[in-house]
Amino acid sequence: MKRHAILAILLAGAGVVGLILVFTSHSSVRDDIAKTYRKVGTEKAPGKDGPQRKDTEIYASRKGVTQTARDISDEHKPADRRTTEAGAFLRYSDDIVSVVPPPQGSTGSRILVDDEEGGYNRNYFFVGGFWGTYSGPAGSFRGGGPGAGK
Amino acid sequence: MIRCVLIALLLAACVAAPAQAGVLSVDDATDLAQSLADAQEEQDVCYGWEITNNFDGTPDVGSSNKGPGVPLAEIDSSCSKGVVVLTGSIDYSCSSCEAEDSASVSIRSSGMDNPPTVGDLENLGLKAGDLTGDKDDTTLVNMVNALPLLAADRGNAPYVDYEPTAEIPPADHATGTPGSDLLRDSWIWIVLCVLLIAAGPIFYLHNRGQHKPARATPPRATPPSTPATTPTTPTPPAT
Repeated sequence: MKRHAILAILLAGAGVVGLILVFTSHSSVRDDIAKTYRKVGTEKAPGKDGPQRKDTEIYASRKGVTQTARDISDEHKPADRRTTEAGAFLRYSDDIVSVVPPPQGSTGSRILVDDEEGGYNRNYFFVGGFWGTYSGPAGSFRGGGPGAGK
Repeated sequence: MIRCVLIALLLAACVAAPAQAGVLSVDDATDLAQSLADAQEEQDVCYGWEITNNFDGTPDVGSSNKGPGVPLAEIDSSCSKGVVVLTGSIDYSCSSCEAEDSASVSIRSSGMDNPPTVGDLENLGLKAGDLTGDKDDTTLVNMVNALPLLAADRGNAPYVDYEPTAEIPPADHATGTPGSDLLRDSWIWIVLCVLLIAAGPIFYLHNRGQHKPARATPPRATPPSTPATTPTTPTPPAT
């Protein structure tokens, strides 16, 4: 009987330790991108000012847009995603990650990490109507692109 | 006769697909064709989509050079760097059939050394099976919209410039709650750990139940102990 009690305690203990590990080892997509990619800048996030707002962080990836977006979404499964001709957009609980082409003359891709308001405002022509309200002239879907909405 | 009519009706119910419009509305297809036209202007690659279905007989078709509802004209002179078309089919089974809904896509291309593939779409999380789900329209729009990005990623054309939105109407904002990132990433581990925690007490109680005596046995009656009888030797009277 004593042996069974010890085994039971071990089982439950392993579960508790596992739970603690899961909760303490989980990092946000924002933190993981900061660890993995080279930071190239920070800028004020689009939208209204506020104490809860976070600046936009800009990173560079050596890989192309598709592979970079895949790497990020493999590590952190997004709640929603939108793919357009100008980039891949990943939505998380507090952050919106935009993987877009590099500046002209460069290779790889750029990663923009915004809070929700900043990401929605920045990518309005791409994600408006998909992830929120869109009162633009077109229908429910935004084709996006440089010419959209102009 | 009545049996024949019933069988015919049953067969008709199985063959007939549910009444449903095409995947994309006219507005959706127009916006999609416009975004492809913008991409074509920057890349000199022509794009299109042709998705057949078995529910209304009208395929979802559109192209960057001819607009919504018209297939890509592959001999267009503006497609100097190639042509990429998303093709596919969506098959809905009838409610009384055993077969499940299914969909498949492929990418037809020409004039490119390194054309995009369906695997590229899957790398972006876009799977053909989602065309039979609730978000079939969003999936199709994402797939078609991704074609210029994939063509550029594979070096066939320059990337379409990303231009952030300068200003949005004040009333517009993000909606919906994406949910916890932790639960989305680690839900399987959390479930396993909770099962382990529950398994401990269950294991203990189960084993205790198995080792518990079936019924209480009364203490066995012990035979009366016979006192050790030592021969008593009469002590001789003191003299």
